[in-house]
Amino acid sequence: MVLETEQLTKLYPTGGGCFDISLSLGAGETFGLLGPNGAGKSTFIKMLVGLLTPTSGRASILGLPHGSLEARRQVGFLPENFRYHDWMTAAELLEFHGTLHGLSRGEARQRIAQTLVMVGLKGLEKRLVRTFSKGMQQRLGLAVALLPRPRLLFLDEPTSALDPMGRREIREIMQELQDRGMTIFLNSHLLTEVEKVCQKVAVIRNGRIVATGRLEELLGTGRHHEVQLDVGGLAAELLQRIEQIATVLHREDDAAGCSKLRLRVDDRDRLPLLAEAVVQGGGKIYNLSMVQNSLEDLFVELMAGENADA
Amino acid sequence: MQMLKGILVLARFALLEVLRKKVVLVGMLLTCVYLLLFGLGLHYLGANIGVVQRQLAGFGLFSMGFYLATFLTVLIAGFAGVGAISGEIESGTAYALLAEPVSRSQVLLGKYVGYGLMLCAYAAFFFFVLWGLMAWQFGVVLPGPWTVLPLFLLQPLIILALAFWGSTLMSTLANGITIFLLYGIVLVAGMIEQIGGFLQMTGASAAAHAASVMINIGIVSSLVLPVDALYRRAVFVLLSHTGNLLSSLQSLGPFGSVSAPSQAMVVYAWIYLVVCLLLAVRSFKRRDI
Repeated sequence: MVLETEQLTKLYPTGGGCFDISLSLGAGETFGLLGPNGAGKSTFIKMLVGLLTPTSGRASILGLPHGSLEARRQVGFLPENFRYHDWMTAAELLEFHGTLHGLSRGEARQRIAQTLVMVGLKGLEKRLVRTFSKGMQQRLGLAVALLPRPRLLFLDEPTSALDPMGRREIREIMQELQDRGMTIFLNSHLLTEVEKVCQKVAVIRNGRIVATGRLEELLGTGRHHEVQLDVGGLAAELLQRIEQIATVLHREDDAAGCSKLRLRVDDRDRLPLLAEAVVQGGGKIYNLSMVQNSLEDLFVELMAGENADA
Repeated sequence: MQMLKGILVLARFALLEVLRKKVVLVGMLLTCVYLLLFGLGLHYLGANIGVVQRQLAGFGLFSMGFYLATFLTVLIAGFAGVGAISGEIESGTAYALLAEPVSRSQVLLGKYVGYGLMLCAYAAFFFFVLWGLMAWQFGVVLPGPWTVLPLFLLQPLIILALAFWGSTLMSTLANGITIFLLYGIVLVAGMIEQIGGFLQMTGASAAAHAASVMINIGIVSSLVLPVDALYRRAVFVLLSHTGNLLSSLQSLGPFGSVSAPSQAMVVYAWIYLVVCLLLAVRSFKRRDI
């Protein structure tokens, strides 16, 4: 495992933090920690990179104790609300961070050129950081994180402060890194971002993980599937057969004699049975489709009790 | 070795920061203006007065200039140090820096070395120009520059160490207020000690108790922050060993030194500096960012 945490907990004296977080992340995976602002996402990531001392629990990065210098050598980190020393030029900033990682001057220069190309800042090496726009600074921050060829990349809300174009650019870079096999841990409250780039997701609410797993599992397993069935010739007997297979949530009949049914089934395997029942019962199927659960649906469902918990 | 390498990287970074932010340039320009005024003062001093008055005024002007030089270097050290750590945290630059494979002690000590080197260069320049002006304009070679210089440099270094410790515990503003108030209190306490010393010298038995209390106030304040004690010792070495009665008279002024702190106080000051840095490292290591 690249990252493994066991009941990792941080309690702040003023309340809040995160509690009993156990997660694991394999090589080459992109993991999204999803939660509203203040849910404890940044606290979790800060413990892993050594900025916060956990109250209890354990964590390891590539088998090394989290926060140790050895572990931090394997890690790249783009903090939320980042700011870099803006009196430096882009190249100086990168060289400084490269030196902290033990890169020689030659290695650092080579990597600076490569990472600036990767983040789309080639040719801006000599510009002062303070003259960069927010989006450019975000990309420069990504270059800082990527400079030492990390085996695990932590991105804390990498696009939250960006406009749609900037978000897309950062997302494209993330997808490129994914293609290269980089292991990425992404903190975000932006559902579409997580949905687009992450294979595994955990949802955090009030400092506790309330759901975790592969994205498709979270959107499927353990939850009911909704099905749209548009059927013609829906007789009472046919409806009875349908109700033996699925729960009818909603029915709407149109003037042409077509009934639009919203059904709920416990298992995807019920769908062929449903089709068979309709055909055998003399009905005509105009549409039979799964209503795709979105991450947003899941998120809203999981966050529904947030106020009650808080 | 790895530790030292990290410290040097951060020291270079701190020096570069100071140079880039034009702090040194502005500071040096204003210091040169001050030294020019001081030199002109010495040059035109007592053009129409007698030798005795001229020497008296000359030593007076020097002790005042030396006092102000001390005050300015300490002030700059305070400004440099109060936000050394808290400033990085408040501005958000600490997040990326401290997540790198560099220990917090390397970050703190590296920045201290960088700022310390800058301060030492500045203070040494200040000191030797003052000392040289006295030699040039008055033909008086003040004794013990190599003895006094470490005392002069130690003062900003102590304030810097104390400010670094404070910046691991407090916000930049709170730390700044604490450091400068503490320094102000110690300066006043140091003057009270000098007045006590003067009363003791007069030998008036009625004032003996008051003199003793006033001296003790100074001693206690020197233990809290041994900066004024170092100044008094430095000025004592410079002015009281010239063999010149007039310069000895200057020891009685507000910028002089009636009772020079002992060598033990100098040793205490070095220990104080090291302890401040150790406490700063300890506190920084424990701090959640």
